[in-house]
Amino acid sequence: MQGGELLERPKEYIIEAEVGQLEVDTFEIKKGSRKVFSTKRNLFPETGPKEHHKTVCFRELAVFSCCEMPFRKSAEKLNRTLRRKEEQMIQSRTMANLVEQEAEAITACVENKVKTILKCHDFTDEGVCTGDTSRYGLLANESVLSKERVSQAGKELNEHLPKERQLDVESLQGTCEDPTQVKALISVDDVLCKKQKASGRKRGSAPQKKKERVKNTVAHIQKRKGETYTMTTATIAQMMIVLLAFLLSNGLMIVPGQLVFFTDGAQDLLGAIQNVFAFLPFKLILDWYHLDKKCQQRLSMAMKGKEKRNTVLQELLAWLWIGKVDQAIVYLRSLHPDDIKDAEHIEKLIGYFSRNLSFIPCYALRQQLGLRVSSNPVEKANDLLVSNRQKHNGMSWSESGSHSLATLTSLRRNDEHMLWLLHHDIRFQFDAAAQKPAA
Amino acid sequence: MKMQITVNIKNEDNSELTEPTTMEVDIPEVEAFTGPEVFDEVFDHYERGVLEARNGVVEKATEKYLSAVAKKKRSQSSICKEENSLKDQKSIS
Repeated sequence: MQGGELLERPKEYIIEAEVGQLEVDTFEIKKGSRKVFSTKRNLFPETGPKEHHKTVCFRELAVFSCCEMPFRKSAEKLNRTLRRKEEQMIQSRTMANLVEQEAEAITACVENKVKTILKCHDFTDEGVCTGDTSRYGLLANESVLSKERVSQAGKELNEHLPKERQLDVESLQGTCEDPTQVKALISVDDVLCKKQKASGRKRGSAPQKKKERVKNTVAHIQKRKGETYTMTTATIAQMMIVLLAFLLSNGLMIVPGQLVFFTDGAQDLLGAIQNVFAFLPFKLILDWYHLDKKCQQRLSMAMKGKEKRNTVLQELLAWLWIGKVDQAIVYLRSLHPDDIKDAEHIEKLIGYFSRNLSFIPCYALRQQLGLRVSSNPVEKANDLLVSNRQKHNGMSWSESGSHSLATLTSLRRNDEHMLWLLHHDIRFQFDAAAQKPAA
Repeated sequence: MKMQITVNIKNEDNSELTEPTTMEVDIPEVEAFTGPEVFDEVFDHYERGVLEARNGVVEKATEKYLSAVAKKKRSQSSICKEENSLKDQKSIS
């Protein structure tokens, strides 16, 4: 063939496949001390020492079963399904390592993709635009619902509202985006899981003051046609960069219209959005459910008794629902001191309203117009990508373990897993998810 | 290139219980394995085809096997019935 010495190494290359564990002979051709051909190098994918190569079918079974059940159970199920012999059994630790390896490779692939996309669109790796930004803000402020529609909706609402709570429809003109004229609707949130202890507590050492948590940031992106895509990263800052690259690569940044974010009002989240997307006008909306919850929590600590709390809460939410934050603050300030247990919490709530003033819209009008008022798609995505698998009694996670499972689950929900398994690539496009909405 | 999988079910005396079940599946040519970068994709084509064929051929062979079992049991039971009815006739007479 090529001349030289032929060396046969029986059963040297091991392949984990759905058809079984395959022990394959390998060959080498040497010319003097030089290796001119090696099946391990020229035919089979490279593996580490003692590492078994895994086929696509095997990886599909092993990796994604771990996204649904604990590693031990998925190892048991895999061994049973593949009828593995005692000496060929796959251990749960192997499954965990496999998941982490795969997720690390996916993250690296996404990072490379993001860098390339940003570079192509004249952005730095940190998401700073070095080119002309005017094309991204195209019709951002004009893409609002028509005056007639808003007036009609306002009129309908006012028919059911008491006199003192009537909406000033004119002042609300231009505040409601046209759902057919948005770049994308983006909901972002963090989801926390219990962190695994690095080591056991030593005798006599002080107990930990705060429970440590592993954080995953989840984003749900919805196109105006309704197609969705979900993504997860380890930090909010990373998420904003990945999100920017995703919007750029899908051509959404140059689509005329607004970019609308829905958040729970967390300061770090708002800061990260403003850091990256400051170059174009965008709309930020505070999720109604979180606003409601925040009021409940603060008033529970501030008011004397459940009945007083509920009365105040009802009145407060009625003001907030119609977007009258100033009136809500006036109402809180007018509360009788005898009814208040801890005034500090009232002040904190007022501070929260003041900080988020510009993100509190008239929820009643938005609902009447059929616009979204909450970030519930990302709450659902949190459950699907993280909570369902990772938040159960007795479970605790390492940073890499938690991120890995979230990454793989998101890959599958976006219907990108087969491309990944076969070609180690992802589309990073809505198209793939079109058949199977992510949330 | 094709892979042919044949299943033969034989009695202890080596006679065939059922006729052989055969299934053919297309598998990639040897030349398709051009290097490590295409190995996964080409082997996936092989593995999926073979798994489907393996399951299909075993399913068909098992159906034949169970049909043969049912046939044998049916004939055994009809022989028993005949014997029983003969015994009944004798006891009546």
